[in-house]
Amino acid sequence: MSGKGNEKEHGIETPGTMVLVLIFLTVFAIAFLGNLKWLATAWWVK
Amino acid sequence: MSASNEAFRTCDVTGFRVHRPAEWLIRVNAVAAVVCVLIGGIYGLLVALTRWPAVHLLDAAWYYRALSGHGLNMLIFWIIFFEVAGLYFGSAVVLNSRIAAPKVGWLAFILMVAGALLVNVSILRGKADVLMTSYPPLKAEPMYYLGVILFAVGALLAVILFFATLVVAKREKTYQGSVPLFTFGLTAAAIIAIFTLAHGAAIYVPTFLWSIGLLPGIDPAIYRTVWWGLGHPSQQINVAAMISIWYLIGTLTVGSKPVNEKVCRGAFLLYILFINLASAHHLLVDPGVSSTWKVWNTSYAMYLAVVASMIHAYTVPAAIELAQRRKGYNKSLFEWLRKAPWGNPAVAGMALSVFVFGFLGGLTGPILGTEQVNIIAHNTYRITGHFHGTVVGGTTLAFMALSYYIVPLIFRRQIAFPKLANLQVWLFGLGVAGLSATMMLAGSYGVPRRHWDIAFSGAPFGVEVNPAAYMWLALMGISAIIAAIGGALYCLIAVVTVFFGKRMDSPKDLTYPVSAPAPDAGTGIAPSL
Ligand code: HEM
Ligand SMILES: [Cu+2]
Repeated sequence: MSGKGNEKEHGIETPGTMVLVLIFLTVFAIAFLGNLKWLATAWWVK
Repeated sequence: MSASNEAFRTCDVTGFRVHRPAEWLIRVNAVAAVVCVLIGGIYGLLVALTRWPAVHLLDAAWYYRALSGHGLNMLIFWIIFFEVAGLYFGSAVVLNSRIAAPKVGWLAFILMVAGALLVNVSILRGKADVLMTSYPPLKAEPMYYLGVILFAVGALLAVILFFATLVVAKREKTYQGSVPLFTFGLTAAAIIAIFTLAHGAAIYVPTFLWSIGLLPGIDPAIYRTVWWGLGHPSQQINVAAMISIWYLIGTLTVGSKPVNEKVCRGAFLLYILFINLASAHHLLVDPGVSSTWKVWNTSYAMYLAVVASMIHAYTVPAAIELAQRRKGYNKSLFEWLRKAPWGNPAVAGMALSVFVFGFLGGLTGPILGTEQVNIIAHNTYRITGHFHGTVVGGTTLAFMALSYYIVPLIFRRQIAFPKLANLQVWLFGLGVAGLSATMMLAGSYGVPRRHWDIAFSGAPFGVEVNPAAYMWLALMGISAIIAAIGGALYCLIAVVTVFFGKRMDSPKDLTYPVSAPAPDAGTGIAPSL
């Protein structure tokens, strides 16, 4: 993967970006669920 | 070739054949943009210092006046003047073509300047305290609506000129293969602009007639529905332009190419097809439209446009990572990022723009656009915080970052105060990040937007506001000052460079270098830009 020369490989060529995108998606999910919590509560109460 | 060769110069940095009339049009539109961002920035600071309860600077009337001036000068005039300059750059310059009809470009410019002047005068006279959205029954004087209409007609002419130039370039074979991704993204933006401006005409013309007394009234619910057909897609123009600029900055600074042309272009197409539906997220508390309509438009359909943004969120950094790795920055997960040319304000500005747009603006949009959440967030400061993440931290910062290349290439001047330029993007980027975050936090305590005095001091009834909200508003004021200093530095650097900067004689004089294409980066089919 990383640490290699210039030859074209078929593995993941952009591992750093993959990690960044995963961080983003995690934050997104937490924020979304946090916002929907009140909804869940309302449904619970019913 | 229909234009004589004297009308062209060859850029010694990029090798573009630059059509001089196009170059002049880019120059004047860019200067107008900077004037507007300066005016809008002053208004913005005044408004922020009013919303900071301990300062509470302006009186009520001037607060709404300044807020009207801020919204229009920033969101409409600064952004659109800059985009028009970008459209001419992305068509005539990048494609080595003549601009189809320079006179039309000048007419467009004159109309836009006239429109912006009328609007600003009307606001300063106190005859248009209607905020940027001018929801009826609020009514401004006719001159205000006329100004907006003139500006919009000018912008429409500029967009048409862009398309005409694409046709000319194709017919006169000034480029090979398909157009570069930058131009493709701008084309998507321009297509969205056409139906955006159509909504604008459909709503501003009747409202103008109402203001001069020819129509008895305007239905507020219909006004809002049609107005947001203008207000929302126009934000997608900004997003498409910003993303195109991200790709362009990647190419200019580290020599990146799109990792996959088809995927990137496909993502722009999704914007064109699905973004108009998302306008419904502005109407989520409106009684005039049904729940089914709201839910359909703001979820299933809109997510296809969100998917497009997700694609760019991957392909933009990936292009840069790939280029950097091809240059040998292969150690560890993030060497490519650490060893990016951070001393270049275009790089730092772009990175901050991606970050602020993604984490503060982008992420919060789909959340706020969900009906259930919107019921509690509507018209709170959370909304204002969201769009200062998108259109300020994202779009405006990307425009600023690109300026550090466009100005030397088009005005042939060296950037004045290059050290300050770096400070500029960081101050603005972090200031706006703080502004956006603190607005959202204040909003989560229920602080409303567009409100002069949340404490209702002197009112016969008391209003409880959580003390934490006051803390966030104070931090917002401080962030606003930092952002305003960053914005002021941008204007200073731009003006000094354009009018007094050292002339460029050779590529060596370029303040920030243009990177050679990274070896074998990506599967891109585009030429080096
Ligand atoms: C130094 C930079 C800026 C500061 C300090 C700032 C601050 C503010 C503040 C405090 C508000 C008032 C919200 C309220 O009281 O309801 C506001 C509103 C707004 N700002 Fe900014 N802003 C800045 C830059 C920008 C830019 C660059 C844009 C657009 C490109 C922009 C677009 C808007 C819009 C559209 C509104 C809403 C106006 C309305 O509610 O009618 N701002 N801004
Ligand atoms: Cu919207």
